[in-house]
Amino acid sequence: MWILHFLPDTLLAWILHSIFLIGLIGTIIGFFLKYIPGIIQYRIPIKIISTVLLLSGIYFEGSYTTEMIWRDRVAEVQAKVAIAEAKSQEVNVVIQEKIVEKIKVIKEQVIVNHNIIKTHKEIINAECKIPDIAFQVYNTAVNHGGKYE
Amino acid sequence: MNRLLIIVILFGLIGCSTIVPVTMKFPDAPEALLQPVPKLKPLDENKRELSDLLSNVNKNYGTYYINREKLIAWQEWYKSQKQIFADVQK
Repeated sequence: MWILHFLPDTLLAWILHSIFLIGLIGTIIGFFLKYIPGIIQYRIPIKIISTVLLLSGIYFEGSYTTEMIWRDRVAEVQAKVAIAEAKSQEVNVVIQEKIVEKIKVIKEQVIVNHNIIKTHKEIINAECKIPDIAFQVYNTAVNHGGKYE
Repeated sequence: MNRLLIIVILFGLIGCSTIVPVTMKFPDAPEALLQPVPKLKPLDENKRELSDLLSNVNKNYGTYYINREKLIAWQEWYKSQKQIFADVQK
């Protein structure tokens, strides 16, 4: 059915409806041809051609309807995807701004604390020196004994 | 006539396979969340005073909070993107 993509919707509809209608009318007329004396010898060929057209018409009508449903659905999904991508981008901007601001606040607080430690270094160090075992335990806790990478 | 009707009905039941040419791009994550995650820093061998320890703890807490905020942001990003994706499927 890929070839249907190359035809405009209205032209496609017009062709398919014509095939279907010609087939339908021909088939109905085919039942009454035996009562018309002049064309009775063409009854069988007319009936065959009409039936083929009718069947093809029904088939193509089905295909056309399916094609149109899919085209509508594709357009609908494309619109939804475009909206979703725009929303996704908006969410990213909001999260980016929020995280940058939070990291900035955290880093500022680290600097504030660092300056307090620096200012009161003498007082802090006056009564305490870190023993080796405390140093080792602390570093083991920080890097998980070297097992965590 | 009955055979003709059967054929007509069978033709009507024939379906058409159509590939839907719509794809959704996997969303990008915010740039700040894609930065390498900083590690905690151990205490320097030459720094054995309490002020050094406090300074190191202060920096490490800062690192912890940055990583915590990044994790929270990842969770928020995931929930938002999942919701957006679910809305497209409706």
